[in-house]
Amino acid sequence: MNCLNEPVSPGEEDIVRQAMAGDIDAFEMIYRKYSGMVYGIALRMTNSVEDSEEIVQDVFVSAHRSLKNFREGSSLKTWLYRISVNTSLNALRRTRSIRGRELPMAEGADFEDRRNLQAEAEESEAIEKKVKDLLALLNPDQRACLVLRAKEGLSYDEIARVLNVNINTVRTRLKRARAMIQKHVPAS
Amino acid sequence: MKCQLAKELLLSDYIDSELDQKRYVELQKHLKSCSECWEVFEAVRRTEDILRTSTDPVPPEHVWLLIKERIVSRPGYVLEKITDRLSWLWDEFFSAPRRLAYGATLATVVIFCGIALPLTMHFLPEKTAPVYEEKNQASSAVESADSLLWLDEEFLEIVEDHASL
Ligand SMILES: [Zn+2]
Repeated sequence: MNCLNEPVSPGEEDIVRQAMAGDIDAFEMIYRKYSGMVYGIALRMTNSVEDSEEIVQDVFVSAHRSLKNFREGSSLKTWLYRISVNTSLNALRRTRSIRGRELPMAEGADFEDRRNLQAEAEESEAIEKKVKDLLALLNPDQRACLVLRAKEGLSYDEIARVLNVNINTVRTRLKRARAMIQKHVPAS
Repeated sequence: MKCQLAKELLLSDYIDSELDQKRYVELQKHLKSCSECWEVFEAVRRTEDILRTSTDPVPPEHVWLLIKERIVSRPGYVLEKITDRLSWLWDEFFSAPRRLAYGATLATVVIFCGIALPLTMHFLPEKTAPVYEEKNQASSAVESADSLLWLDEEFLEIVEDHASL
């Protein structure tokens, strides 16, 4: 379980301060620690490797630019979650307006044999495919909530703070997201 | 508890451990007796497991290199770095404890000048102020003009001597 209320860890505080003073090596250490998390969110949000690499770039470039606005003692992780989700949502909006259509839905998502899910789950590749299929059923806002909740383990309150919405909105989005997924998973 | 409410809670607060104790117990009781809701719970739990067990891949190395390039080549980066350094130095040297130290030093100097110096002056034997021989630019210019004049006169004398020879 993540705890966003926790401020940056003691060692991290120094690194953040050094990065704020313009030390690029310190900033690289922040990148090494959080790039996987940012990339993971981007991949789940956009379902595109190319877009996700660009999102990771945008997130860290804008994080570097706004480091001076970062309040010392607050959570670096929450801050990066917020930038990551917002950048991903913006990228999705841009892609949609360029392509003029909804995000590609999972084509014939293979949920036919739900009992096989468990066995398949042992292979990470299969899991990744399932994750993609499940998330493709959702709209971007629902997807952001479900990724932060189910994948990143944030509480409703934490998700509300990251997305800047109220808790009931988080609850409703999660409920609809899961209902949508269940609708597409045939009953055994 | 009715199935509709049970299913709604299953899709949100229950699976997310956000349910209060009273509702939690009620829902548990319902799940034990209702196979339909139990099916829903199992299905939701399975998909949640899938989402949770997926791992975060590391972005390829070129992503960092591109980020670094974008940061360093951004217009104004060098200038910003310099101003950041300067403001950092400013903050360092004028931090609250240092301001206090500077204040104390200044106060000491003021006190010394106000009390110690007049006292020292009082015990020193009186001396006439030293007179400096000032050579201002104008006077030195006159001198050099005079010497030139003198040179001229001497030169003329020599010329005249030669002429008389
Ligand atoms: Zn029921």
